[in-house]
Amino acid sequence: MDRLIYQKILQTLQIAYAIAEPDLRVVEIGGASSLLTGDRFVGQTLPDLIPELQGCESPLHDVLTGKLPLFRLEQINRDDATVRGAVRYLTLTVRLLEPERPRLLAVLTDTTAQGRYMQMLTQQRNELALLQRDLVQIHGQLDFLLRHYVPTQVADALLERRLLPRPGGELRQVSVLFADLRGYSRWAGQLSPQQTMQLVNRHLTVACDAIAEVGGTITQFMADAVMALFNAPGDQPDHAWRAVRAGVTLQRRMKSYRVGDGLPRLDFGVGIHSGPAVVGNTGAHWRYAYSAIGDTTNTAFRICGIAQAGEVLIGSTTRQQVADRVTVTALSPIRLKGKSKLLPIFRVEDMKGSA
Amino acid sequence: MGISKKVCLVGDFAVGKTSLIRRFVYDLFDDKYLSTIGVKVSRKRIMLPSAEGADAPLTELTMMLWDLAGSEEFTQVRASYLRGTAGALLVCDLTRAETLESLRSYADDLWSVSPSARVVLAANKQDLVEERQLTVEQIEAAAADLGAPFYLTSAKTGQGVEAAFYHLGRLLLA
Repeated sequence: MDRLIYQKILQTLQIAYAIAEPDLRVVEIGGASSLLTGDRFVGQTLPDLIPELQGCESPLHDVLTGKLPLFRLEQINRDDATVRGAVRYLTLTVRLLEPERPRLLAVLTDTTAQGRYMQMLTQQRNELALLQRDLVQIHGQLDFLLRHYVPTQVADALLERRLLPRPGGELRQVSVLFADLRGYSRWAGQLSPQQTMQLVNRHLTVACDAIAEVGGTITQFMADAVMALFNAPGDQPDHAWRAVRAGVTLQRRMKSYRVGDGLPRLDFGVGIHSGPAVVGNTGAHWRYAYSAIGDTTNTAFRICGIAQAGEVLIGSTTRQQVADRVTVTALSPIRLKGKSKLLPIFRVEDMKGSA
Repeated sequence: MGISKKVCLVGDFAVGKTSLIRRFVYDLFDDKYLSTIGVKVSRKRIMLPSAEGADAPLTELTMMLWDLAGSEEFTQVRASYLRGTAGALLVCDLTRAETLESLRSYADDLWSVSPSARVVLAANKQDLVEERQLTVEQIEAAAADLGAPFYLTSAKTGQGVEAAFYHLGRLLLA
């Protein structure tokens, strides 16, 4: 009677057991025998009843000899015969039945409820990890795009939310630099479009490097010209000095620059002016670019227009801010379109104390 | 008379271990990712020549394929599952470079409990050409470091799958 009750309890709890001799021949089975495969007959080997033990002779031998206290496999996956595509989970423990006689007791427990819950959690965790990985990659691609199409400083400010991504701007004191290639149009007519693109990109790389090295914000390219701002979007109290250093460094490097691939080396004319400008996002409400609007920008552009190849020309407001750091030659003042007053212009000859 | 060997598939989660077994045993593939917990054991019988040469007699090898969970929480118990392993397919995902780096630790876990286990490296998801992050040279270097032959596989198309398992089978009979 006790044995019958015992069997019923094991069946209710979905627990099966098998006892095997050292040669793995089964001498007794009981409980929920549906968990066991094969013909479920006494006399078969343990791996016949529990196929997950096939190839496991080595650890079973270790259990028999006491080298291993037990052999346990958690969450064995089996196809659920009752539900198509569903998985049934079992836990198997094999241990010595009694210390004085080397026989193995294998216990199989149905842990499907726990297993399915664990599987669901693992699935979600793994999918989240894959999603997170994808997001990191996408973030990297967006970061790359942002930093290559938007000035680095502006990209930083946007990402750090110091700059609002909407049209409009603020009035700031800035220095504006323009660098424009001389002789570009003539060469563009002689070179193929691909060569022309190479020519422009290589020259602009020299200009951009010089600007970036002193923290300038490269705001736009106009064919063979580049515009850069200083003191925006971040604070640069020495913005005029930075702009002049960028211009002088650029011209120095161009003297020894080798373009390569048989392309000609051209020279830049550089113009710099300092003063107030509204700095921010300009354009349509749905598409805009970071720039500086105002007379300071226009003046810098005009000054650049009269700079000869290899020259760095600056306006009087810039000159005032760098007077003790550069040597200059005063040129004939110019009259800008729409202006009544003449504008003093200076050519930067050298930076004091520099090689 | 046939020989039965325990073969484990190890590697990070979602590299395609379950799919490789499904392709090899049932010649099926499902794009849906279903993470494995614990272990699923499948059986595959193959015939292999027992020696070199065209006339060598064939031997039946039953591969007991253990599909082991690649998830982190399984790491602590993985060693007990690896006990008695005769051979292993170390699986990485060609679209996730970090999965190749992990293989050394899986191999070390395996050899700590089954020192004589033979291994083959399967660089899976060969079909996802656009998303590939690993070069053949990188795979080759990792395989050389592990002393393992390697195969570029695709559980989706079946490319390289049989070749990888059969190579492992030959190593188990050698």
